[in-house]
Amino acid sequence: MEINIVHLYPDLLNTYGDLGNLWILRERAKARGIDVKIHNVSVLNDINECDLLFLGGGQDFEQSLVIEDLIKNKKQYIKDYIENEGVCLCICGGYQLLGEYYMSAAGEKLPGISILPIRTEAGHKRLIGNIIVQGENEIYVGFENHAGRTYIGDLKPFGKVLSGHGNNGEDGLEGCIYKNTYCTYMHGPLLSKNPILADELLIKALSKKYGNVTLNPLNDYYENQAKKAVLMRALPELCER
Amino acid sequence: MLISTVGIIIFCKDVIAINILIIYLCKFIYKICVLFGRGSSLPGKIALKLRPDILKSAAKKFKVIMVTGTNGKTTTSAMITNILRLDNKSVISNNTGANMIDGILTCFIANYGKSGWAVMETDEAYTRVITEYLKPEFIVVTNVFRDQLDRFGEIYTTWEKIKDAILKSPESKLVFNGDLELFAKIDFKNPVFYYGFKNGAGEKKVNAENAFCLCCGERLTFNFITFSNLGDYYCENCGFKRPFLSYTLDEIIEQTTEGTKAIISGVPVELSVPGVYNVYNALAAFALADLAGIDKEQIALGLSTQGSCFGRNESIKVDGSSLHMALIKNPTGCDQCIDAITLYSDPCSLLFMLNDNWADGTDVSWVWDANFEKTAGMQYSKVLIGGMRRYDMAIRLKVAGLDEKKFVLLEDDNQILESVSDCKGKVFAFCTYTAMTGLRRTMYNKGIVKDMWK
Repeated sequence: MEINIVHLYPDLLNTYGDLGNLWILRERAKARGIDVKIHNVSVLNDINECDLLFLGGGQDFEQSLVIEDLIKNKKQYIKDYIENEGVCLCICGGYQLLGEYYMSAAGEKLPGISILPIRTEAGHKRLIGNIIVQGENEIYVGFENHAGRTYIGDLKPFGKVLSGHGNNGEDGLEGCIYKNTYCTYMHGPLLSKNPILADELLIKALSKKYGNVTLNPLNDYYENQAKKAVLMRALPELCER
Repeated sequence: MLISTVGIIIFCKDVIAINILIIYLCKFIYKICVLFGRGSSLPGKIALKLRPDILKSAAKKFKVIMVTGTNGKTTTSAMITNILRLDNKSVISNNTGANMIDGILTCFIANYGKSGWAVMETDEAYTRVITEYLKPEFIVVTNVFRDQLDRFGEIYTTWEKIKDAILKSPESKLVFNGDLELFAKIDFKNPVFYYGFKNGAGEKKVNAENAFCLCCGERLTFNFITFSNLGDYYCENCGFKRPFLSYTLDEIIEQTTEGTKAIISGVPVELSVPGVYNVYNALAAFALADLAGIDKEQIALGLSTQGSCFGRNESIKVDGSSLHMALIKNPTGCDQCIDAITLYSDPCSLLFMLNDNWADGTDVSWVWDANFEKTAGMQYSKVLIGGMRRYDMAIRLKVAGLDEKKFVLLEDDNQILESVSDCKGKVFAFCTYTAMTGLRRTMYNKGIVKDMWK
């Protein structure tokens, strides 16, 4: 089997070690004997083969450079891809960019590519710290650091906040899920401490291509201990389970 | 005595007299702290509580050199201090990394009564608080890179803070790294002196940080990059380019893990600290010292006798092992340490310690932006891993391609020191700030190091 992972704007959107998510996907796929191709796609480049799309976060200046190219050159492709149940992981800035608009820290209203009905308002205080959320079947841990307050309307959240701030610090929701697109503010990198989620993305992407795919388990001792270290601090009672 | 002093402070109406009293009171507290072997910013904290503007009085007799930037503050400050001291100048310096307002104030309080130069390493976020009360003779900004983003937000935010600080002190002479684009687009009244590399051996590459023109948004072109996004850049679209350099690194003659031989502005220097990042630090110190009127030969002498400072590439004997400590705190600095240490090609062991206290940065994801892949090529027999976030570190190193079979995860400093001594050879340690100070305190308590703060 082979998986094509597209990293959008690696030169512009790569803060907080987001690249680590790709490496973890790569290593976990390789460990199962799956060939991995990572395609770096930036301004003016086209997306060709894609089984898993990744969009990371950037600073306001870089994000403003990305928007122009996204709207002009990639919007239609990404929209079709997402509607077609392509697997997509968007973190922080990448998450905001999929929505209708976001307000920059300087108070400027910047358009998104309006694929998802979400909007991001400017916040005064940055929401920073370790975060723990309850996903549909699993608890996820990560680190959040964002000024934007995102509202997801009727979309399904990525998780409910157990500890931390989440989308906006108000409604107790974190990220959003639409079809096979996962959006979240959680980095750390996200997949480093949530190996089950990493495998879920791989399974969905490969199953879409090859039909029902299962992956044999790996030794996730470090990953589970790293997750436990975050849980132990904020919610030690969860570790008893 | 304490009560009566506080009483006098409260009832005394004379502002200057009050300030002097507070300073002496806090100097007394400082001496007690020293007596108990605690390096601390407590005296400064107390003084600030009593009078927020006390810094002005405490620093009155000093010509201040403020050194700030993401990386290289401590080393550059130490180099400047060393050069000035060798030239028989009276110099005080907050040389233990206590670089926030309380630490800086504590240094002035401890040295109250003296006069001369004050070399103050200053945390970027506190620069504008400092220039509120004192107007430095010089402000040196080494660089602004991606650092603990949880604390500072974006690099542009950090730079805004430093710019604010400079605006409050329009007479200060500025010494800037000319190879960093961010520092070229400025509008200050102050005299500015840039330093940088005349020629680079580095390869061309792009970097997400800010390899885009700040004037027009076009991708920048580099004649060369030294590391990260430092180099000789220009914009093909609008003509924005690297400013004129007053001080230049002309040539690097030789590099080893022990140091670098180079020529700075025509003067041969032998740096006793390794790595290209330290060449930049030396350039900053050279520029500053020259502007302060020090003879060039004297500057070269100062740079060559510069020992390693607190946790910055320091070597400590632990039984039969020699522990080589490097402080890591952000991707750029960490990569520079990795570059310097991977010059070592003989058998050794590695130690990584990752903490996530406030002083380390509470977000550990930065380790994924540092190039630990390069350490996988070293001839290591063991990989010791410690710190509060050791499992995060272990995952990072596993993905970086280090041999998992050689990993030893260690719970506390005692286990770490035991394992280090078992290595019986060179151990290269990469530690975040509180991991390093914690380990150092344990070594101090065990008598392995003589000074806690040096």
